[in-house]
Amino acid sequence: MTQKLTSLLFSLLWISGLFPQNATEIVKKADEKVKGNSSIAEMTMKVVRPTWERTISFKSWGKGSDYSLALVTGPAKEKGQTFLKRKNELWSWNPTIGRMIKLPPSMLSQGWMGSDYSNDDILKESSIIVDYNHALIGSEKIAGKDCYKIKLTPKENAAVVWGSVIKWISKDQYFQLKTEYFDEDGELVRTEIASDIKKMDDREIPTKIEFIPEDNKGNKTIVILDEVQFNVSISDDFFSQQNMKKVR
Amino acid sequence: MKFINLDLAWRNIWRNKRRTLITAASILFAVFFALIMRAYQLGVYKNMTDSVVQTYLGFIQIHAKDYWKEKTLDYLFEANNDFLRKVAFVKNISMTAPRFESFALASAGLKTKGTIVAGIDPFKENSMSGLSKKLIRYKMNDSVETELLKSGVPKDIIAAINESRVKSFTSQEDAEKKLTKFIGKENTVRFLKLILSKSKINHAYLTEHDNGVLVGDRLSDFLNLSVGDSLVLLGQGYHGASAAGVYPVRGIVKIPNPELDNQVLYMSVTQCQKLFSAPNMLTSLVVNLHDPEKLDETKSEMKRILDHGQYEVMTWREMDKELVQQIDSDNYSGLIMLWILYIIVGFGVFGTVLMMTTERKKEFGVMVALGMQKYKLGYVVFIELVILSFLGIISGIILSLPIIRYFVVNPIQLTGSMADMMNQYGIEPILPFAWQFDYFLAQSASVLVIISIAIIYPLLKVFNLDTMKSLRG
Repeated sequence: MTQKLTSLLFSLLWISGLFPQNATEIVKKADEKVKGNSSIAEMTMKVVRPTWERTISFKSWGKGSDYSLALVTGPAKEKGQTFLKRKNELWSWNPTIGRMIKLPPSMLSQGWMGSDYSNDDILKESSIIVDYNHALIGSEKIAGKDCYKIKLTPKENAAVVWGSVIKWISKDQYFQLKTEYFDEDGELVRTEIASDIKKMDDREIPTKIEFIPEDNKGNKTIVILDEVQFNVSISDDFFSQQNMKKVR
Repeated sequence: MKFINLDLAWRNIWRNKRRTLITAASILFAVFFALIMRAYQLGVYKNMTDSVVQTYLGFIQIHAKDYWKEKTLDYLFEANNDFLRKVAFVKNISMTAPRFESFALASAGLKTKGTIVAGIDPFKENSMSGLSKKLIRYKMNDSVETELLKSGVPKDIIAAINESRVKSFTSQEDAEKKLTKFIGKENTVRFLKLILSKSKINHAYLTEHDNGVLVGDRLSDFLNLSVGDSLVLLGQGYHGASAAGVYPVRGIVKIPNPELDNQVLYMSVTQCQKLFSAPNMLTSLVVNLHDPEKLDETKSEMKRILDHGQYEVMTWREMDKELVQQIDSDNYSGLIMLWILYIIVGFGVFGTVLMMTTERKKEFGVMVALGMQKYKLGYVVFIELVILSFLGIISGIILSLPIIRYFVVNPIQLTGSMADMMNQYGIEPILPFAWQFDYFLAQSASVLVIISIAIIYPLLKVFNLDTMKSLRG
């Protein structure tokens, strides 16, 4: 009798191990991989257009999903501009003119500093976990890796700029290798492709992300993660307007 | 043979002076009115063209290819030595002015507004459009009004000025003219000096590489700016660079077009290029010509010299299709008016010729009965009418010349709301008359055509003459 019970227990455990996790759990794991509780990162963004290219380097501090600060460190003309997110408020500071500008939520979908990387992206205004419903819709290979194909639909009242999102998350390491963004009419607006998986701090993550807008072939923005530290301690006070003016 | 006919015709004409003079007079009036009307119309069109084209648009503009269609900072061109040298080759060019125009958010204090930033060469732009004359030297605001009240200017006068909303003046004469309109001549004479002394403001025009700006009057009101205040400009520059800067206000300008007055600010071209991170680049080069008639030839010449793939050369007709349509439609309606005039006058001429023919029926009958061949008679009548026509046309021209010349030199000055409307479009509010050879010829030719049509009747009458009937008649 006990033997039958134990074998049943084992089979149950084994079977549960085989069941795929639900979509939300997958997304959660993928998100935690790139975020951590807090992070300090140095990144380079290359804006590519048919006739020109521009490179902007910046430093980014993040704490949870409520606080985020980005400081532009190059080129010289742009240096010193900072962008702050505090809960639901977005601010930008321009040292040349000494002005603190509040960014309206309507500007979230617009490109940051003239790129295809939106204001929403840099300030991580929306969270892929909290603001969306998740559904596992299949399995595909991206760049030779097996991935879960997950559809994200925004929840009611979420401050989200997209109508829907499809993510390809690798099964073995939960990397978000490919993402497609759609508007409310279901039209593809942007494609994101992650590559160059390297070891950063305590984990392996993709360090190169390409943002390709659908309506402008020949345009794209490449964001490269140069350096990152995860789970550093940053006080909430760091994310303030006063600090925006001082931070280096 | 010809001389006899000519002689006959001449004598016929002067045989009945009254008849001759009536016919000649009707032709004279036709020509006279046609010339005056056409002189007026052509003068007005030229004024419209000159005002808008010469002072702002320029007869020709050079841009980077596709700029005019797209009008974004992606379409700029470099004004390097090679380019300038090529342009200098074209002889008909009287002047060129560089321009760098784009958009930016302007902010002062807590107010922000989207504005047009116009980078100009201050001297060249001034010689084109007289921008420095538009600088405001006297401006009335609340504190000025309080001072004036304290100095004894009656309340109702201040109220009247307030109501008129005309509170900026570019010069003493401008102030005098405007104040007279709103508070009457007497009050103006009494208070002008006082008003001027209290409302005087600093003003300065831009220097060549000035880092200051000139702000439109209405725009300065909205942003609450005075000369010396700082203005913040924020926007996007060339190739995605950020455009940001702080600029002192050097002066306030009154732009006639109210929409522009509310939106535009001027900067030196070098500062503008710096703001938008586009060193040595321009959005357009404005070109004025010595001889505007050679517009299309000059354009072709410029296109030949400059590289097709990189630049586009446009005439004002291509750039401001609205103005062209306006002038064309006015022109056509003018021509219609002219043709109505011709028809009316044509009937007048026809009437007198008809009268003349019927009157001389007996005379013609006698001539034919005596043996004159009908065609010869017809020929003499024809010559008579031709001589009459020339008499009429030449005297019409001579009569119209002094009147036209007077209005060419002293054009009618428009006032009131009509003048304001014209000023808004940047057109000088005058009605000048044109002084050109071409329309004199055209009108005379048209009148001749009408006369020829009118002559057909008497000629027909002569050829179909029933000798017996006319003798008895």
